[in-house]
Amino acid sequence: MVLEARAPIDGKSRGRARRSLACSLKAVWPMLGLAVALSFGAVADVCAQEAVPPMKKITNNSAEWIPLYGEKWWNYYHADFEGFFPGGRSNILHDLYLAKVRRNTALTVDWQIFGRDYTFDGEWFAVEWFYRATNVADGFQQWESTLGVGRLKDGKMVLWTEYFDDSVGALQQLGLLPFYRKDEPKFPWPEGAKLSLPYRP
Amino acid sequence: MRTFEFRKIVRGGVLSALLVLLAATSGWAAAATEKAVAQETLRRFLKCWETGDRETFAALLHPRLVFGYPGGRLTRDGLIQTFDTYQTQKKEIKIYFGDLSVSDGKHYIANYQFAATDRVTGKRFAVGTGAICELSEGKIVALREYWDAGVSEQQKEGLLPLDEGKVSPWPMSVWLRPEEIN
Repeated sequence: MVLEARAPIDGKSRGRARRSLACSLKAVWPMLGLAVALSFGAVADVCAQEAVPPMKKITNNSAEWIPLYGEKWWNYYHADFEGFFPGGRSNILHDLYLAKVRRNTALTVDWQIFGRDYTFDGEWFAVEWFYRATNVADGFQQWESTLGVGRLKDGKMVLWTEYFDDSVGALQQLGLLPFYRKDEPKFPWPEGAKLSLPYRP
Repeated sequence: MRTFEFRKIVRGGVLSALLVLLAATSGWAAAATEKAVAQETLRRFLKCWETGDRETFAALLHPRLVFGYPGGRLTRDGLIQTFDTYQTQKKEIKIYFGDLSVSDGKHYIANYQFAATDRVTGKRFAVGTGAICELSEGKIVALREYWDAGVSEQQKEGLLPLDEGKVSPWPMSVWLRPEEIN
């Protein structure tokens, strides 16, 4: 459920998501040294299929940056990029490792992000969105709500932090939680939930 | 006489320049003030979990509050009732504030870590939380807390470290693994 996996909203294939993860590394080849050299074959293979468009404008104003690059921001990671997710942290070098080991092992496909509500604050921004994905194993579709916060530096994404409850999809699959309605406001749990849990048990 | 007039002119010029600067920056200043007020309000609210200050906790909540968390939604009365119960069930509650602070004047977003120890089992958890908050009439009218409900359970079972005091969605020392990407 990391950003890279969720980012390609129009992506309908696992291959495309893998490319997004790997191609985010292209800008920092010189810094990765031996690790990159060893992995060059794997990454070059997937990147060859999708060229990274050049940046039209360098800006740290998130209100300008998101309309320009928000649809494919994984192409514009800063060399010092760090990501923090339910599941753990990552950075450019760790993303390289993940891109390599995740080949042909994705747990979900058909990632979709929609209904984005942005808050812009200079180089910072926050966004609430809906996320859907399909389990490879059984075809079940999870539907979750997420709060993410990003920061720009030198016109690129240098920080991304994502908060969501990873149990929502599992509870939906068990029939204990409903899906969100497409037009309902974003909340950690869907409005139609009959189940309730105590606060921070 | 000439010196006095010159000083008057200079003083007037400086004053005019300050007024122009103030007008130009008033929008920014207003937004910065709203952000500071929201930040202070949310921090005071969260600190009440630590101190058990029910009066301040209740005073910061708007009558129309909708509070969402992974587990359900609460009204103002429901949240105050939860606060009362929680103080009897948990001890050594600690809130650690993170570096994220984002605002557009209407929405305020912050992150923190909520740590507590269960009074019965003695087991402790420390869970990273992202929150989006809205104020009305100086009080919290909307608050949505996002966190991964599985973290506290895994910490209680010893499957995840606490990494207390380091604010992150998952414990800071854990690096993302392929099996967690779904």
